[in-house]
Amino acid sequence: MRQLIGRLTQACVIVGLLAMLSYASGLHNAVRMKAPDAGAWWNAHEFYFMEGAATALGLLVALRVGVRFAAEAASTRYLAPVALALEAALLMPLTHLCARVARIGADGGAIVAPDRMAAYAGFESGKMLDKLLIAALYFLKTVAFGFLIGLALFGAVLVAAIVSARSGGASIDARDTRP
Amino acid sequence: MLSLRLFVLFIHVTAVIVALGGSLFSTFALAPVLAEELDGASRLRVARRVIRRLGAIVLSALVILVVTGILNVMFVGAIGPLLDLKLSLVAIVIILAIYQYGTLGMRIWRVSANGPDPALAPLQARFRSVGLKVGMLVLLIVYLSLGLSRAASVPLTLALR
Repeated sequence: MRQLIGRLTQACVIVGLLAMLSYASGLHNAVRMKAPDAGAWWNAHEFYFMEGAATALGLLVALRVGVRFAAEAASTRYLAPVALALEAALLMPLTHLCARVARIGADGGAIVAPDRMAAYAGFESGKMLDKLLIAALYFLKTVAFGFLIGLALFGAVLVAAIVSARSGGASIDARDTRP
Repeated sequence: MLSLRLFVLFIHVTAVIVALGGSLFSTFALAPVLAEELDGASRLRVARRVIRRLGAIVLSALVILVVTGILNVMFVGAIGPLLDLKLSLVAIVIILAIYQYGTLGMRIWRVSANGPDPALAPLQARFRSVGLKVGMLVLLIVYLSLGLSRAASVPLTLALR
């Protein structure tokens, strides 16, 4: 199970970073030159790939952290698979939620990064770097909110495990342990 | 007066009260009374039930806190450094609570399945210690929340004073 979660995490990192770099640098234009239909499809979907991969990455990292910190509960067979299935089932709505929250910006403060980047790297390069910075921040914020929601989801599954837990073959409820 | 935003905030605050109040009551009121009034075997039986129920209550409250907290962020419509700090602390609190009930609590149940055991005392001490850390962090989060809701325009350095 841990191996599967590890592989899924790696896949999310690769897909997410690829989609983020593609979105920020306009890589779809290169694809369009080779295969126009594929390029158009990628252009229309790269942003959703970035959001989905970021949310899934946050959820999976939370699952890995949860399994590690709930070592005793995680030894029960169903905890990690149930949490993973729940995350998979809720991925689409959670992607919309995380993406929406991640779009919320900081309150106040002057926006200085684009000007500074343009001053150092020139207008065109600065523009691209600015887009890359915005996409990277958006990606990281989506991952962070995905992580927080993932921890909450794992907590919900852990509650179910605690309520239904048995230890040493006997129910942990006092009614069943009385001599 | 009666809006969705207020209702979500009410649920959020109630969840904080439940999570913090339950842990503090268990640590400072219930545990000392159990130690004084009950013999070892009875105390263990009660403690097992309390840990199980409290785990379910505290973790459920934390789940509700995250859900209502994210709704609150959407209502407020701004994420500043103070909120970043608060959300980071929330993540740490949930991880600690998962460790407290998912590892220590479950281990206490397993070890105590056949009655009193010498390995229980250090486990219970660690359980209380983690619970206290969770409580203190929740209090810090509450303070930061007051900074966010009552002094939204005040810089981080001032809000932390």
